[in-house]
Amino acid sequence: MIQIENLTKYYGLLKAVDNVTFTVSKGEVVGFLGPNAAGKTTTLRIITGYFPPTTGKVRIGDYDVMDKPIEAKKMIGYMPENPPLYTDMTVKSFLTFAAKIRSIPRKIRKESIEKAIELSGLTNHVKFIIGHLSKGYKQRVALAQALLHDPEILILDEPTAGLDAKERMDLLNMIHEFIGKKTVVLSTHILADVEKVCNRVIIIHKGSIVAEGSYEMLSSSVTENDRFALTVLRNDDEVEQELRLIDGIINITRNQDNPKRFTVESIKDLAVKEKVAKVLVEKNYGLIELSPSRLPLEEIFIELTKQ
Amino acid sequence: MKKILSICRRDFTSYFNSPIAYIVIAIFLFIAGNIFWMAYSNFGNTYRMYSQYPWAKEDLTLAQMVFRPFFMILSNILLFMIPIITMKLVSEEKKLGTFEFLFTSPVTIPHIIFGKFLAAASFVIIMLLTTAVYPLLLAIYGKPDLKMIASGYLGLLVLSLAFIALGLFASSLTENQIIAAIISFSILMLFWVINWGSRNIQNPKIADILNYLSIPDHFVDFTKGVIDTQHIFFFLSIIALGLFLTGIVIQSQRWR
Repeated sequence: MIQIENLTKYYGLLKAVDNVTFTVSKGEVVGFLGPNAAGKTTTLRIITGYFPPTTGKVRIGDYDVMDKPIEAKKMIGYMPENPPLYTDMTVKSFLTFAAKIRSIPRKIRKESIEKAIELSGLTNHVKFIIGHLSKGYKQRVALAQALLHDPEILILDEPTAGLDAKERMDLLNMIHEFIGKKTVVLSTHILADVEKVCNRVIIIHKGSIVAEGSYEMLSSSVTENDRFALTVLRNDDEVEQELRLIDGIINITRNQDNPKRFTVESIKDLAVKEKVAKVLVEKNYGLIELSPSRLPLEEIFIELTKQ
Repeated sequence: MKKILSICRRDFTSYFNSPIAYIVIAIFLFIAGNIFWMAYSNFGNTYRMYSQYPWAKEDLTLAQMVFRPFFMILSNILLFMIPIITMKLVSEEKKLGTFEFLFTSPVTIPHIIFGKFLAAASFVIIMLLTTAVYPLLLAIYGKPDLKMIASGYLGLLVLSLAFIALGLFASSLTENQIIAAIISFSILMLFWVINWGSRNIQNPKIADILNYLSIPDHFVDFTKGVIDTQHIFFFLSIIALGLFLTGIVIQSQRWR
C-alpha cells in the first residue's frame, strides 16, 4: 500500500532523512519509532505529499505522490503533529470545509462528518470554536479530519501526545480495530503505544532505518541470546544458585516486585531450557511458569539508537 | 472549481470571525460617505455659481463633478485598505501551520491561490457595492451619466483586483501579518508614485516605461468614462503577475 524507495531529504545542508526504504502492506498497523529529531515527521510529511523529497520515490496504492498527488492524497488521512487547525472556525465548519476540499460527495457529506465526529468523541463539542478547545480536543478534531473521507491509509504523527490516559486508551483501541481494515502508520516516541497496537515496528534514528520487523525479530537483532521467564513457589535463593550452575546460562535477573519470578538469559539452545525445567522440577521448587520472554521494547530501542 | 469555491468561502467567512473586517468596512463607508457628501455639496455650490456660463455647461455634470473625484479618492483609500484585507490570506496559514492541512488534502496550489484571491475579491466587491447607494440616490433625483459611473466602477474593480493580487503575493512572503501589510502597501505605493519624477528623466525610454507602470495613469481614464482595452490589459497583467509570483513563492517554500 505504501512503498518508499531511497528517500532522502535535506533541509539546506542538514540531512533529515537518509536513504530510507520500506513498504507497508494493506491492513498493516506499523509503528514508526524514533527518538526526537530522528526524521519521523519529515518522512511522514513526504509520504503525505506536504513537501517533496530531495531524492527518492513514494508510491501510495497505485499512485506516485509526486506525479499523481491528488489521487494519492485522496487515499490518505493524515493527522499531523501539533495539529494545525484554523483556530477561528467552529469544529463543525472546519470539518465541513475539510469534507468539501476532499471532494466528499454532497450526498454523503453530512453523514461522513457525523461519523467522524462520533468516532473521535466530539459529539458535544461541534459548535465550539477550535481555538477555545483544550489540546486533547484539538487532537480529536485533527483525528476527525483524518477519518472524514474514510481513507484507506491513516498516517498519524504522535497522535497520543497531549491526551489523558482514557483518551489515549480509546484512541489506541480504535487503531487496534483498524488492523486488517486500514493501513496505519503510527509515529510516536511513546513505546507503550506501539506495543499495544502495532504488528510491525520500524525504528528510525538520525534519518536512517536502524531496524524493522516484529518484536521477536527486533529482539533477536539486538541480542543473539534467548530469554525466558520462570516463576517458582519456594526457595527462590536456592533456585538462583542452582540456575547459575547450568551451562549456557548467561544472566539471571529477579523481578523486583516478585522475587520468585526470574528472567533468564541463555544461549540459543533448547537443551538449556530443557535442563532448567528438569532441575527445577526434580528439586521440587514448585515451578509454575516457564515462558519465553522478549527484551522490552525500551531496551531494544535504547540499544538500537545508542550511537 | 468546487475546491476553489470551498477555499474562497472559508477565507471569506473567516474575515468576519475577526474584528478587522468590520473595522475596514466601517472606516471605508465612513470615508466614502464623507467624500461623496463633500463632492456633492461642492458640485452644488459650483453649479450655482457657474451654471449661467455656457462654456461651463459641459463640465458641470454629476459624473464629472461628483463621481470623478469620488472614484479618484476611493482608489486612494483602497491603496490603504487592500493591504489590510490581503495581509492574512497566506501569512496566517503559515503561522498556524494549516498549510500542512491544505497541502496534504487533494487540492493544488492554483486551487488555494485562486480561492484566496476570490475571497478577498468578494470582500472588496461587497465593499464597493455598498457605495452604489450614492449613484442610485442621485439617479432618483437627477440624471447622472450612468455609463460613465459604470466605467468608473469597472476601473475600481480591476484596480482592486490588481491590488489584491499584489497583496496576496506580499502575504505569501512572510508569516507575520503586519509585515505582509507593510510589504504590500510598499509595493502598491511604488506603483502609485513610480512616474512622479519621470518628467525630469532625460532618457525618454525609461520615462515611458515608468509612465507605463504607473497605476493611477491607467486608472484615470476609467473615471472619465473611457474604457480602454490597453488599461484593462495592464491591470490583468498585474493580476496575473501577482498570482504567478504567489504560486512561485508558495511552491519554492515547499522545496526548501
